[in-house]
Amino acid sequence: MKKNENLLWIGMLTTLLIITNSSCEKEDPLPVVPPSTTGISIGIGDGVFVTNEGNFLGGNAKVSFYNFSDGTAVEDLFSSTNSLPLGDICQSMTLINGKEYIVVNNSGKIEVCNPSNLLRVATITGFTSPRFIVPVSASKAYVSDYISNSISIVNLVNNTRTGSFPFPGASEAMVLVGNDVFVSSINRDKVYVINSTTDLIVDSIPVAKGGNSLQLDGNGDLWVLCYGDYVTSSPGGLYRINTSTHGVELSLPFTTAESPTKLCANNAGDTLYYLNYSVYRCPITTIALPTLPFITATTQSFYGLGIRPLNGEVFVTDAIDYAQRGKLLRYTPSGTLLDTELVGIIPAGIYFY
Amino acid sequence: MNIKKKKKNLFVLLFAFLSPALFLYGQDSIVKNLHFDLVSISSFRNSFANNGLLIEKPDSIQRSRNEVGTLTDLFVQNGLFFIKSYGCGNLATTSIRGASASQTPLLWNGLNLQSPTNGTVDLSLVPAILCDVITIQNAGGSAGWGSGAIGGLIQANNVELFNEGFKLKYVGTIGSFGEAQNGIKISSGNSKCYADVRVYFQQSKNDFTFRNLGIANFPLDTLENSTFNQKGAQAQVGWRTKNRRHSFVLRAWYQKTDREIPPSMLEINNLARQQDEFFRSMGSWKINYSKISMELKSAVLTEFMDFYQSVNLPNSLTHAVSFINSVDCRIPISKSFITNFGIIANSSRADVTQYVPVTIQNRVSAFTAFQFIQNEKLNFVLNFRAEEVQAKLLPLVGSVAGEWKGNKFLMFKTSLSRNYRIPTFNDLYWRPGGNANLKPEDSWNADGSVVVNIEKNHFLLNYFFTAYFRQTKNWIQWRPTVGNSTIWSPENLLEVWSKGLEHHLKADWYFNKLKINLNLAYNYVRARNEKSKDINDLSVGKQLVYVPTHYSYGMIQFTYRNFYLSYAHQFNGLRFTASDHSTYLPAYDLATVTIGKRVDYKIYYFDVFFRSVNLFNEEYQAMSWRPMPGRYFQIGLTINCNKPNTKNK
Repeated sequence: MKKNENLLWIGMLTTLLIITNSSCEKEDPLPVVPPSTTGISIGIGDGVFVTNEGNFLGGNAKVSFYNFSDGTAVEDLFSSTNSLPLGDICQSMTLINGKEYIVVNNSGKIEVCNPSNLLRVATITGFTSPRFIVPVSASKAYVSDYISNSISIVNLVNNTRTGSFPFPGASEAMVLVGNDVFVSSINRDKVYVINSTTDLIVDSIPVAKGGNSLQLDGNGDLWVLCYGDYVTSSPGGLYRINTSTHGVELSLPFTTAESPTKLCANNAGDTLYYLNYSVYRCPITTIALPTLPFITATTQSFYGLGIRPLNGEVFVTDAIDYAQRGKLLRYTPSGTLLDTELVGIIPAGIYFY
Repeated sequence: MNIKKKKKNLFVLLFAFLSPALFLYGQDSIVKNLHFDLVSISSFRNSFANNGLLIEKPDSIQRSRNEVGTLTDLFVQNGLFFIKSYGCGNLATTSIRGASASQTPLLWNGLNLQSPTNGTVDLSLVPAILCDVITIQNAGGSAGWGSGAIGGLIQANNVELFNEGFKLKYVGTIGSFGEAQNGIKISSGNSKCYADVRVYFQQSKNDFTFRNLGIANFPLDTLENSTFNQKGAQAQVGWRTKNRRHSFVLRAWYQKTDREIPPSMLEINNLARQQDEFFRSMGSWKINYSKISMELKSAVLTEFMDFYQSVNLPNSLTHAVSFINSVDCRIPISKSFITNFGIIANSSRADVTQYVPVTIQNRVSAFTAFQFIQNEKLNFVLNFRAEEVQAKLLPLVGSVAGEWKGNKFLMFKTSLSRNYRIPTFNDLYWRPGGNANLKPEDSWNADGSVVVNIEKNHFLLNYFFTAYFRQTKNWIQWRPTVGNSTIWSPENLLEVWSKGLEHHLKADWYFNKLKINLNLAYNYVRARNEKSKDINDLSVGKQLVYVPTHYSYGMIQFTYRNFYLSYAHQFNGLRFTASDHSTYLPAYDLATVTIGKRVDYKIYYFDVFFRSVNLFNEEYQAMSWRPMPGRYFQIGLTINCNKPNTKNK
């Protein structure tokens, strides 16, 4: 019996020692502090800004900058320059009157910055859930909104929100054509046309629900990309709208399983690109959706897309697991991978400067 | 950061040095009242399911200071594990050994209170006054307790008050930021029957000031949209036959909580608010014979949640109801061989804005256990459980566990178990994104512990050391759907390996009229994802987000005559907030000092205390950008009357 007890002692202690030893490991290293961006001066054509949404309520929205010449990326330019976090969910960025207007959705604000270093010059507040900003004149801009059922009006001279007008749902992408602003909606099956002088809706054009992006082509036609409505299982579609007549000239439906986003075009406006898990492209003369991807995603989570105006290079972002820094992937115009750089969490928007 | 690291190291070193020194004390007799109670066994299941595992209780000193308030307050003050808290009165969940909140069930008298819809228990919705015995199991236990018990298990039980006489207790605290907590318990019990009623009300404005790190120049800001109101009542009645072969208990619990959801430092001021209301009832019939013991239980749990975000968005409504029936038998075959078996049927129904249509889930699980008692020193237990969900049989789970009492002061415990968690209703049925093809999370857990108990005339010591590892496959995580970045969907994405060590030491000294109580704990947790999700994935091999590697707690109390003074210190290690470790929240310390006096008079006692929480006014965030209060104060009063039953014992 004594011998058995000794064996038990030895057995128990050995087991504990093994588990203990296997438990103790080296500490996780802390993230490397990025080099200072003091003195950075970005010139036109130097690179591309990437807006990173960050996690909802995570407060980790960032704007990254990728430099074409040396292929490096600054992960968080805004915070580095301003010693201040950008906010919660960076939705979009638009160059207006020589300033970058960065829309921070869940912080309900727009940061106005110098493009050369993103030094903050003004903050516009008073929004509910801002999405995109479009200038409608030299002194006036519209800001779409996901929740408020309205579109805000911003005075671009003193960078203040001056008011709003009602909109029947969630307003999303906006494009100015002449005096009219075309506005897509995520939860309405229409593209609305607003007279930018009177701020009144003057027309609505039937499309699918989930209108997430708008693109003008080289012929002046407006393309609308919708991902549909998952609750009612209605499919999305790609539409071509005549901006003069407001008529839908082409309607190409997707299946209910598909969710196309991020419609954009090359500089000539003769080729369209969009994400539908992989990257697809088609000429504006198409009468059918492309069946084969242009750049195929394997395990990546493609989330942002942009075509470099200068040479047609394709920039795609990979959000990976949506909880870590994503990647900016740079492809040749024919789709060969050139470079990969780390950017912020959930990189969504690509803005060439 | 260096200062933080030094503090952490100092604490670990103090613990490391102090522990062996305390072992040098002898082991003479005389047991006095430990400030750490031994765990009482309240059901058959516990004696089988808890075998081989360390079961902890909140320190009884801290427990008495937190009798009113929520379990969040209690666990934050107790430092048994890291709490993921979104701020005062707001969502607070457990993080035991790196497990997610849905992997640690909270059982109320054996009933799992995890919501069938989201699988979590918000500790801010459980008032401490309703829980007579709270125990924490830091290990998987699905064979004993069913789905969800992967990381650990918390039990909050009521004791039966037969023969306890008349008891009346009022507990109340008032404090900074408009805090007012009041609770009253009245019970009366003789040898045949008892009745027990508890009523509570608590509120707080939570309008504390903080430095807003999200705004230029970091101005002082005041938390807005942050009020918390909770009221509720619980009643239980019990009756038993004269020969005590049969006893019946009925319990009912109603609660309503209204709380505003304050914005983070980077969020626009919002008007979001949430109302949680529930009614829980249960009845049990216990049968006790020498050859068989049995408990039949029936319960109805209802819950309602109404979340309002904006006038332009529909409220998110959740109605859920669960019907639970169970039978649990214990048959001692011989002195050295005892069996336990039973069956639990659970039917849950949920009507949630985002589900179409109303969803019903039926589950049946059968469990059995065998306890082999070699002698008074050695025994081990085998547990098995099979569960069927919607007529689909899940893989069999089980555990083997043993305890060996080496000598009068040393004990070893060990266990190996397979555990699981079925997907929640949200995981399965949320529209859009619910994934009906999810597999249950599948986990293996191995534990080994050494327990030391030393008793001397004026000294008591309890120390344990546990080492563990756990592997969890098919860990469910939400992310945008492949090919559809606008819809988030749950997938069996991760494979997480958790390893760790736990030290816990409690000691009491008695010097005439002076009593010193000491409580020290240190947890080391490594919980890492080992499965890649993407060719660019940099999270593989890295600690999970919001899981501190180091976590420690210490409390010392001096009691002289009727006066007491205690100091508690909690160290919460650094937590990464991005899965690739590109961002993190620094470690923080929380100190609490309490001074009070207790006066005993005949069958009454009065206890009044003053407490300062976050004594050093530490500026910290438990979750990113969620403001937390600096130093604040509380005054508490307890009035207790205990008139024992002197008849019909």
